Amino acid sequence: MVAPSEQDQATGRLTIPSFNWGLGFFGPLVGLVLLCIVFSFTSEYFFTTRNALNILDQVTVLGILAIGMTAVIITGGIDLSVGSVLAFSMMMMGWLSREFGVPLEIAMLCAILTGAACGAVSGLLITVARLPPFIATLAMMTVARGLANILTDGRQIVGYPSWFTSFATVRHFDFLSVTVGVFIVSVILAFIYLRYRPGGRNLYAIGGSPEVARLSGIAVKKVTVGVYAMCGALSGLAGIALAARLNSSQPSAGLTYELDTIAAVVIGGASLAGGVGSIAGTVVGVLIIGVLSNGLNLLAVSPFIQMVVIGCVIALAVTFDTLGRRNR
Amino acid sequence: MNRVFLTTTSAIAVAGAALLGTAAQAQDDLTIGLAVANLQADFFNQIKQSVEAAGEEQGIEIITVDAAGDAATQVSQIQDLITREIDALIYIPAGATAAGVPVEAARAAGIPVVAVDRNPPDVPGDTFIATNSVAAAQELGDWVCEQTGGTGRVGVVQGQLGTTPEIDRDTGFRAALDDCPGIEIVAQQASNMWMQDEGFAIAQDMLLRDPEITIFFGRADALALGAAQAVQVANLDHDVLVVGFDGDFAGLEAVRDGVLDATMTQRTQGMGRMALESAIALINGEDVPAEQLQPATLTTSENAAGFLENHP
Amino acid sequence: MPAASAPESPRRGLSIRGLSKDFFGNRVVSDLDLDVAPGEVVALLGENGAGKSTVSAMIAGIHPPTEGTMVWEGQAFRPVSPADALAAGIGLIHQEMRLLPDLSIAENVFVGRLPMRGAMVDRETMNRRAAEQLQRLGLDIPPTTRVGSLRVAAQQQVEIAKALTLNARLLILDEPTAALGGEETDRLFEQIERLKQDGVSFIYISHRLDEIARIADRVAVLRDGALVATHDTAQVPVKTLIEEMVGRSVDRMFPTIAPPRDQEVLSVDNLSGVDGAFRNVSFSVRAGEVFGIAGIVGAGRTELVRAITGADPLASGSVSIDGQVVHLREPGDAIRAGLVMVPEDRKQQGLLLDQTLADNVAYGNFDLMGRRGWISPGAMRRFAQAAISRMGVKGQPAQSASVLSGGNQQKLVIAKWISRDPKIFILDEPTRGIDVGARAAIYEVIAGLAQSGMAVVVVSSDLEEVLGLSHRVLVLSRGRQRGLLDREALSHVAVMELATS
Repeated sequence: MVAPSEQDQATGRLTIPSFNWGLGFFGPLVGLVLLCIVFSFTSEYFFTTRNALNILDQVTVLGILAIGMTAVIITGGIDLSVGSVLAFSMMMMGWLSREFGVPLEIAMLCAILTGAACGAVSGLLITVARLPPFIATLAMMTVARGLANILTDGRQIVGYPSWFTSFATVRHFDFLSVTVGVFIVSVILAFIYLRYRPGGRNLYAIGGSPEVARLSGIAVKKVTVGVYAMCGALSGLAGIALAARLNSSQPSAGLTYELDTIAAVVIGGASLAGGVGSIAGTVVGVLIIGVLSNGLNLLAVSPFIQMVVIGCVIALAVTFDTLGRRNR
Repeated sequence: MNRVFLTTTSAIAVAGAALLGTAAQAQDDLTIGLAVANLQADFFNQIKQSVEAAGEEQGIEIITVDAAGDAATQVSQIQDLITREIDALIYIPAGATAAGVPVEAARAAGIPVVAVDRNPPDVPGDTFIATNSVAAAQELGDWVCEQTGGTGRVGVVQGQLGTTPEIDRDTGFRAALDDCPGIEIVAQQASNMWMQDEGFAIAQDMLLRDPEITIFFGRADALALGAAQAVQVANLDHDVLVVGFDGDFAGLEAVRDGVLDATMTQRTQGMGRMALESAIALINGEDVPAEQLQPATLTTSENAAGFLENHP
Repeated sequence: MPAASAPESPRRGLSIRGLSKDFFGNRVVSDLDLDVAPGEVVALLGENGAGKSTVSAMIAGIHPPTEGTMVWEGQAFRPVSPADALAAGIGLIHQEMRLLPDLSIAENVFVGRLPMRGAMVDRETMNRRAAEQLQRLGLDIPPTTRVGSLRVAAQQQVEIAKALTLNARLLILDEPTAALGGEETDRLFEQIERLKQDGVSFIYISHRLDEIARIADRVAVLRDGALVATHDTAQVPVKTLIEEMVGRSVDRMFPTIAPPRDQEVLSVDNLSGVDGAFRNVSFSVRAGEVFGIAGIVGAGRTELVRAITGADPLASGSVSIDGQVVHLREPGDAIRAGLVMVPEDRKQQGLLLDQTLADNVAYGNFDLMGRRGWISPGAMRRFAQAAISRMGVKGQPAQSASVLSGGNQQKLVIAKWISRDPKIFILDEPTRGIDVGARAAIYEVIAGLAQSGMAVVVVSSDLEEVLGLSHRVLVLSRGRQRGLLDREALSHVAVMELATS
């Protein structure tokens, strides 16, 4: 180990140029394309516009959650509370509009603010109380789930106005539903932010080393709280999308979504060690998960075999990612 | 390039899974989708097995999807089934209250829907098959009253609050107790997942607060089994009557062995077959009643063994 | 095996003949001959990349040699693993400790071979034997002390104790004093002397040439993997050694720096740190001045400059820039006020080694590139290119910072801040772990900063460096300001007297 590094230093040998600019998603992208090819040949139903739009529909909630999670994971953190915060936010929306007659538009805004507040609390627990992100968001996961149930004593809220449910069901121009549109716009904004704005770039510094980032003049605590708040706000947004899709708010919604979300982000090339990750990769990761379960459903693969296949894909993705990193 | 290798491998895995799926494809053209709420629950798994068995006998392809208890997942899965151009949908809703969204989607695609166990209140299925839970719970209550000579203190281990089965079983049981004034419900607490370990913890806490409890009603067999375990651990100086509901495999065994005193056996095999038959009838444009409620059978140590061999 | 395979080698000790090592077809060590007699200290010198670490790795069994023979205590010696070498009595003490911080000293010393009584660890025996070793090294620490609570110097001695319990008769010390202050270095040298009396041999690797004369019996100089000179005495002029190491003549290490201007840029008044790391420190630095801060390890030098730049909180006192009192609560405040710092540990605090040069230069400088807060990969690349060519960093913007040599990494950190044209430049240990050739380049850069009118503060454990660069030197000892020496009053002795007071 000693001599090769000396060799590098002596010759200044050029290793793999690694701008962490989002080109790291090339590998997962190849995987996605391959998956699509396999499904296209094995199922006549797969390669159709309608099915493609279905997949987009199906990944919208996961995708919106994954955007926030990507930012959190880039900073070297993790947010286990996204599923619970989603449920709490969607219950808050239903509760406000049902119990207090708050106009639904304002209740939607409140849902997003609820999510942001939960995230900010997680962020403060991490930066001020110095809890590890895993513990802080684990606590928030339980608290938010409890709050979601407290609002209506565990009952769900059914029946939203049709203009609201049409967000998820009506495809404008035979193409995009409003929720899918919101997902796509969120992706574009997040992509631009992480790539072209100092605030986004700084997340990579914090993930690389909070100390280096701080000594570089980055307000690490403020940014960290902001990242978790944004992740919470996106959970709230995802909660609204899910409520429109289900035409109801359920306190049990989003159970174990945090794990699906983390899986999508990691498949997309992000490292749980922080400092690495991209929105493009995450979108590909989300689509891999979406295409995989859609395709397996279309192929009528037994649910038990599906679990095995999905688990294997996650394990393989992360295995090769770590091996690849080590070889570098 | 590791990623490429990875994806090739996973593509092969997927292709393998695809073969497994298509190998089961039947000769007949009929394809029926079965959307199950949660295969981890034995009750649903039994219905699934009976639908699949009946489908195999008749050469009908059954595509099963499992929502693992998540309503949103189920909506996606039914969307996929519709894409797959199924001829009919057997829908066992996930979540506390059945979602109407999947029924709407299927109806928009011209696919008939057989709702099983729960029925979306806003958009009901073309037919609804379930146990007449109110009547069954009442029968169970009457039996309890008779066995105890009309006196006792009841601890109720409830299922997930707000769900149809929980509400119906509560209604029926209370109706029976109305005619049996000597029996009093002294404690009740809800579980979240209808699971045995929850039943154990809840019953243990109840016995701590009130050791004079003489009757436990678990709203499902798993909850009752948990309660029976708690009773055993508590070392009480009096007998406790423990009854459950569902008649799933573990429950029937427990009744046969005397761990539980009684349960109400739901006709899962019958319901599965009936669901498939109704689906075929709907495809053929025949009339099917909007509700087909099934009775459940009171099961004690006398008849449990028979049900274990040949589940109704 | 008889000693016939190397007839002229000493009967005891280590004898190396024709040792070579190839990595991926590159010869990194070629045809090396070296003898180490019992009780002898042989200094191995060379720039980074000269092959010193590879030589020690071959002796310690980490890498097998490609060619050549080793004879150890009269036996042919071909270790296949570090454990193998240790079993034969040869131990390597690394620059970076490999201790388990949460275990006790005794547990660390005996890890992997804990004395047992039945199925239980025999703590009594373990602690007793560890205490014996610590005593032999003149260390008065209970063996039950948690290693993580020890200072670096003491940790190093635990490593040595560990090797000695294995009955090591040759110890390879790789940069043992890199993290030690003067007093601790003295302690280490005393121990080496004591062990020499017991017949223990040493191969001593260091960048600090002044130490060589104090401790070594003989000197071997490596350049590009080959032995270029050996001296049978350590009394060799430092200049000669440097010329042998870099392969050219070095006229002067330290550039001459013009006298400072009159304008006072940074002044600190009565500064104290929160945990008493330093108390009541006052000084001021003028434009164009190089201001040195000296002291032994633990004197509070790093704590002081970190507090000045807002990296750590202040208990009391004030900092002024250009005569205005400033409140710097975060490093970001300091950077915006024109006060930048190159931190002590460039790998942990200065750079993100896994990220590119362009990324590293960009963090903290986004306000200088692009338009209205919009940045692009192109803008980042151009910015980085300009910064690294201004500083002469040998590397490309898209390269990962980990591939750079230590000197180039340090230049990269400086390049990042120089882009801001700061008023005050603080450098904490600017040449730690950097080889001689690259040091001169760093010194040139420091001179250039002062020349361009910045106020430069240099913190260093290397007295030569502080003396050679600074106009004035502040000496700290145990957190107290012991003196402020002008250039005329500057001397080794003067500084050391104050630093150890």
